[in-house]
Amino acid sequence: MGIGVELVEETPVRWRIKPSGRMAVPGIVFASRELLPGAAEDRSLDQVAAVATLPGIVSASYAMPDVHWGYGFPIGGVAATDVEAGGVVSPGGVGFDISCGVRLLVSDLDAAAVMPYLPALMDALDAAIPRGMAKGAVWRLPDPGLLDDILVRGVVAALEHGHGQDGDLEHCEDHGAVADADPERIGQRARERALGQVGSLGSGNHFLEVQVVDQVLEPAAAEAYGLRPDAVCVMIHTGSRGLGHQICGDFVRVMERAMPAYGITVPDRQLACVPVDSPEGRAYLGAMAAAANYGRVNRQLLGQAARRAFHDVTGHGELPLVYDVSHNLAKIETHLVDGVARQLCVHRKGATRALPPGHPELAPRHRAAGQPVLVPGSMGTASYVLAGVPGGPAFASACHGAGRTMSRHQALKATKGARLRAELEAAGVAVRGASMRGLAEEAPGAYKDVDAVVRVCALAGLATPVARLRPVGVVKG
Amino acid sequence: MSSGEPAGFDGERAGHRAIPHTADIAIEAWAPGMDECVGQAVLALVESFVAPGAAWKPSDEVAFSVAAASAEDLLVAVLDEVIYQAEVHGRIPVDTSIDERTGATEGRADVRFATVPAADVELVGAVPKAVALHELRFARTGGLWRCHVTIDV
Repeated sequence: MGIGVELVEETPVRWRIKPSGRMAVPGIVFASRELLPGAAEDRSLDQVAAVATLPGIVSASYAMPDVHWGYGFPIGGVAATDVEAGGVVSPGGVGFDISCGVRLLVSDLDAAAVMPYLPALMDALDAAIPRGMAKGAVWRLPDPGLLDDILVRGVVAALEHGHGQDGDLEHCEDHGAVADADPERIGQRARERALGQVGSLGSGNHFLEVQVVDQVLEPAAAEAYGLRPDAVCVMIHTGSRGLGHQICGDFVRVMERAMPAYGITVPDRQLACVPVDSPEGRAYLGAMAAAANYGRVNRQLLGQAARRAFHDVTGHGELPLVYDVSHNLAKIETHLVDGVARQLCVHRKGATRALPPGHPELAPRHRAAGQPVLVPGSMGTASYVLAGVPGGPAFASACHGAGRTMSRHQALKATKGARLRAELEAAGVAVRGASMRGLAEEAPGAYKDVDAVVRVCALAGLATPVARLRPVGVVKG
Repeated sequence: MSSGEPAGFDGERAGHRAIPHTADIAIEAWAPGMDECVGQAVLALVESFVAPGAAWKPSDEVAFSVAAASAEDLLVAVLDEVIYQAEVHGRIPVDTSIDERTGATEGRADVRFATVPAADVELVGAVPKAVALHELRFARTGGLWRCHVTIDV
């Protein structure tokens, strides 16, 4: 990209990229010196600078502590544009996997009660969770027309067909459905890809884990979230599957063609964008909202499959929903900019919304604690639940995971899937993978240290740690 | 066909490889002809997630036409089709032929994939989901067509 960035240390966990060239705002990187991306193998800081050139961007182009090299936007990037000032929306700022996110369920069983059943439970999950390239999904739609209902009403539609339980709407971001979804904006190919995948994990870094609450770091918030020491949990990390990817690809091309009419040029084709308040911008947001609803229903159905497996093996299948939150999404939100309330299009790509305590959108149970922020670690390592805090410095956003430091290619060279599986099993983590190479590509060594990422999140005032979860079983896509 | 090692990049007249990218995967292909280079890119994409084996003998084929106003458009459209065929129809392309149209429909190309059933091949990596335009390159340099494509998985 050739922008070249100059980093200034503001605090030990906050770095500033001074505006240069076409940058309209500075870049702000929340990282310790150790977590800063190395320029040689990871050009995410150039990407933070490139995002700072987008029309209408306000305050700064932010990078979370888990930032790494994406395409166009960095993964772990947050950018807000002022809708009334010609601010843009960019599909690249949401990512291909629209509404990729995390769902956490908690069992009433403790580790000691579940461990004797673990091999049988993992076998049941192995059979119940469609993944990899294999065809199949938890919910075979009896009527293709039902797809539109899912796209518009999200989890509400799933519950009406018996796929869920009490609390599933209340504890899902946006109460299970983003408003203003518009299935008319979705092409035929996106629909074809969507039909057979409602309740499927996919592959890559997606997973379902059985976890145990290892440490409670903020007891009052943990109690509000239903998390107690030693409780067994299920964490699901996946998104909107082929549908979201197709919508992103389709709209990047639409916007590339439309940009000249708006006088917009961008330093990377994947940053293609148009004003939020334009026909193409509104169309994208309608399609994106539909994919977001699909992503939540996908996780809802996988959660149902996990509940059935728990029921069949342990007799305890209730597993209330702790929370479900996306980390690839753009939202129209109101925030103060220089003391003035502005309507902003907040892009979070590989970043999690983190609403502070008292926010009116939070469920009553979460209101005093702040929004649960679900942070999956890399396969076989710890995950975290954080809480949103008052005065978050990046439009109420926090990290979304550990962040890759090694490419899949490098991970393959460094790790053999079979050996990794043996090491994980030796460490007490049961693994059910779709392929040995897929396992090796997601080796924990290919990621940053999630404990360090969470520590920086806390020090930088992005979110506060509530509980640490350790895996005991992994179902890998 | 390349061994996938970087050394092959300049040493062979036609080939392909995967290269590191922390976000997802990137592929490169090269060949004397543009169409042949697209075919090499298809193989690079396919080999990123399924292992070559006895099942590579094609048992089916699929024909389609794509917009090809530029070499990059053609490349992206053909790679998009690989992803679509694998995901929706369970077909894995193992050979590609391309006829660029002339006359009234110039700017389109007719493409044919020879395919194997997805059920017959071994999954060895993350399944590709989309073709990114980030740092997309496809041009003739040094006597060969060369492309570089980032793939989201």
